[in-house]
Amino acid sequence: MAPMFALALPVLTAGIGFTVDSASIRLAQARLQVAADAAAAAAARRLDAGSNPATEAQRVVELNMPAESYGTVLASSDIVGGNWNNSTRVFTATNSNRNAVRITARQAAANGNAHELIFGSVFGFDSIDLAATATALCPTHPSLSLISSGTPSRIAVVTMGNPCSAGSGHASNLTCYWATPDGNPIVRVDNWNPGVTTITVRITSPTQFAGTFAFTAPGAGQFWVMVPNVRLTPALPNGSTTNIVFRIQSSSPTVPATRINTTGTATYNNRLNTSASLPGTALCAFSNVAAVSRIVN
Amino acid sequence: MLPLFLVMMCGTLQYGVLFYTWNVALNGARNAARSLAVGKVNAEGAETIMVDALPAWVTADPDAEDDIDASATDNVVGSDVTAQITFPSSRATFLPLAPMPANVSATVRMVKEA
Repeated sequence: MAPMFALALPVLTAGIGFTVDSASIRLAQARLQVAADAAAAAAARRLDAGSNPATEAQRVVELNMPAESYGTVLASSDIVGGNWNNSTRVFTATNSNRNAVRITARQAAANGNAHELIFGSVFGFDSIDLAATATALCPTHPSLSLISSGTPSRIAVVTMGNPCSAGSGHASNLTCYWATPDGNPIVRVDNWNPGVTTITVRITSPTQFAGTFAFTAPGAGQFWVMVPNVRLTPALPNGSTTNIVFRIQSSSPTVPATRINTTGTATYNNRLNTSASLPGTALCAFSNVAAVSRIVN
Repeated sequence: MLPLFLVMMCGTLQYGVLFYTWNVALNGARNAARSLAVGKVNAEGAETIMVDALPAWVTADPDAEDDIDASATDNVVGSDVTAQITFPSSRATFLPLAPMPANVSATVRMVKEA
């Protein structure tokens, strides 16, 4: 019995070492994944112009795996901004039109913080490299989308209708205007200013909707903007329509008078093409907007 | 020989169960923090998620409620939320063998999104 046990001892020790180290590796891997997920989700909410996703990713990783205990978990080269294609489910690293962030958290020799094994050293393996990757898609801006990123000549509201769709209840030779299913008008606003710009728009008529609303454009371009706090009742087929008139009030920062049109108006009516999501290209929400990022990979 | 063999076997089981329980607790804290971050639950709901995720041997006996400390803090959009669960490691093991950490603890922090 004793000789057999003596012979089996190295095998048993190896088995035990493998079992315990596998369990500890699994725990370390899970911890890395949690840190990567949290950092990617947080960084994806900072993809709007003027924010820094890399700084946010580093901050959140530090919250979950402090450098004091875990060393350099997230190297700056492991924070990659890019574009996530939802239909092909492929992430492409790019600096333009980014909608996603990919984070790779590591406990690796290259970062000087490889995961130390408990029994591995008996067999000559002191540590092992671990990595966890998370890709998060930015939340879609709920009230702003992009028509075109070309630079318009002025900040202005623009009347922009489309042929009425089959669902609108109107003949297709008539002009309809975009609105949410709740009846919020979606108006086109152009921004000349290349930086982040808050534009205030005034509704001049009808009197029941008179007032102002503001939105923040991430840069120059033509945008679809959902008008808050206004609910239009759709016009009946062949019925009369109600006009709603918009005018630019101001911009922040202010721009030269030749670059803003505060006198021109855009007129929409309540023949509505409704759309659950905004028309145009979706934009990432600003970090202070209550909108959820999606961990996609 | 037999005592040595038994010690090795018990040690394997001991650490196996400990790491498994720790992993489950971490997953629970992760799910709780994410649910809190996306506005699916409030702090109380996040605490329930963490406790419910624990395996039966941690929560089974009547004193479990006193031993398990699940806490969650909610916040405004853009600020950090925290989910934390701590319990004595004796609850995650079946023999009072040394050396063991005093507590099993998992903390996950995320940014409040909605």
